[in-house]
Amino acid sequence: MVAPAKGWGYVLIAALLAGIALLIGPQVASAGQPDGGYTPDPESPTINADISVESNDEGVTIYIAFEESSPGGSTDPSTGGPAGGSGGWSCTSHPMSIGNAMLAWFENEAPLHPGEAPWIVWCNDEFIGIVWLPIAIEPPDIQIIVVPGVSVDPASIAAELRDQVLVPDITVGVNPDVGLVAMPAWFWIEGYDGSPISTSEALGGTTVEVEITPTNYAWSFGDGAAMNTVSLGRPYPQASDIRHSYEQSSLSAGGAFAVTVEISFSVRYRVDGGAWQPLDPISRSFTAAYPVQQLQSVLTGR
Amino acid sequence: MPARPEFLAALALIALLLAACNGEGGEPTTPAGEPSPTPSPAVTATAEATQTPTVEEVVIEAYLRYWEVYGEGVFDLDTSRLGEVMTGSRLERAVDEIESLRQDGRAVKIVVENRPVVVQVKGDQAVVFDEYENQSYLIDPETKEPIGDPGTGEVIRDTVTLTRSGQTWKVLDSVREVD
Repeated sequence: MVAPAKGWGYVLIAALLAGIALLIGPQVASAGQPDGGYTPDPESPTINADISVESNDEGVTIYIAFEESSPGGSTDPSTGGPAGGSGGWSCTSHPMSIGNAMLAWFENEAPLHPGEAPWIVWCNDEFIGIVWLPIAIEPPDIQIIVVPGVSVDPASIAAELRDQVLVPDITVGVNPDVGLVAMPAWFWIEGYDGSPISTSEALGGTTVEVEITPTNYAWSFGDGAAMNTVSLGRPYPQASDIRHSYEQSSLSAGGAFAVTVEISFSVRYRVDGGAWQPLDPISRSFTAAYPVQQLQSVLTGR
Repeated sequence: MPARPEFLAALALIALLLAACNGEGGEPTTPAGEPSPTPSPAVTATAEATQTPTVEEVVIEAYLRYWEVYGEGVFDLDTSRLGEVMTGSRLERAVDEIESLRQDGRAVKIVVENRPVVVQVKGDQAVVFDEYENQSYLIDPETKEPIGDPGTGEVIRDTVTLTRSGQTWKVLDSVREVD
């Protein structure tokens, strides 16, 4: 009998709480409403254009990403191209003239962009935005690329491609198969010739291409010794330039030394065959177990 | 020794010629990154007093005037003067906006810090880009007291097209850049 009474108590408490919630609820909701701020011309047409600028040795690249229809009314923002565009896009840029009417604006903005000058970007004869470019830049050194979708950032796409790039299935070659203390072992990389590896992805009418190139091979022989090389070594029976002599057997290392080679790759990418842009480097490691034995002299009684 | 009258006349002539060279049509548009040397304050004051405003200056003035009238319109819920500064689709939107505010029993105090820049003047059309800070807020239409908290100071980027009708520039439309 006690249990039912306790149950009714819970029901009453729940009902009470529900009632309080009903009374408080609207006030809480209203507190979460937007404040009294007001956006002028709230029904203004909008454009979602994202402009970014990347500098490189060959000049600058202006990326323009549209999410919706073009400012000129085109409904196909899928494609674009360098300085002129394609697929209905025609984008240009020219230096901004600073007359007296804009002097105050310029004096306010210029300190935020040291060494740069304002350029105006137009697409399909519509103003798209103002970008700040290095003062010494010339129009031939400017590339404009229209990218579909404002969420698409070529650098991000390139970074994803870089992280997914397929490096060949590399193995560590070594001779002799079983090492001997104090006898140089020769090492090399098998399954990869050191040439650049590239991959690409097409996004609408835009292609992002990524290329990785090995720059350094960091060898770790498992006994604390290390070596940096720019060569892959040479497979036996050729004499490899990557050599190491062990001073003790691998018995203390569990029967084999872990020989590791870490390959550092420089990375670059480009969009629609344009100028190459650098990306952060990457590295890949490959390991092989290498047993090393100690030869022992045995005196015979002859 | 007092200056000779011919010398003074020559000086005056030179001054007049210099002023004429710096007058209408002589508005220097300096390539970006190469700002012209800043004249001394005294020279600037003289030049400004005698120069005809450039078309860019007229456009900027019209644009700021547009904000002034628009601000009064949403403050007083009065559409009668909007046509002085806007036309076409922008005028239609502003009229609808004020009507909507009136129906909601609200008005607006416009508080913006405009930073307009003229990006193009071609014939009777001009394009102004304005990246401005907005702290406008809703008010009671009768008491003019704020409703709720003030604006947050968001930055708004508008590209505004103005058209010239006779000697008057009016806002024809605007497009807002959204993130």
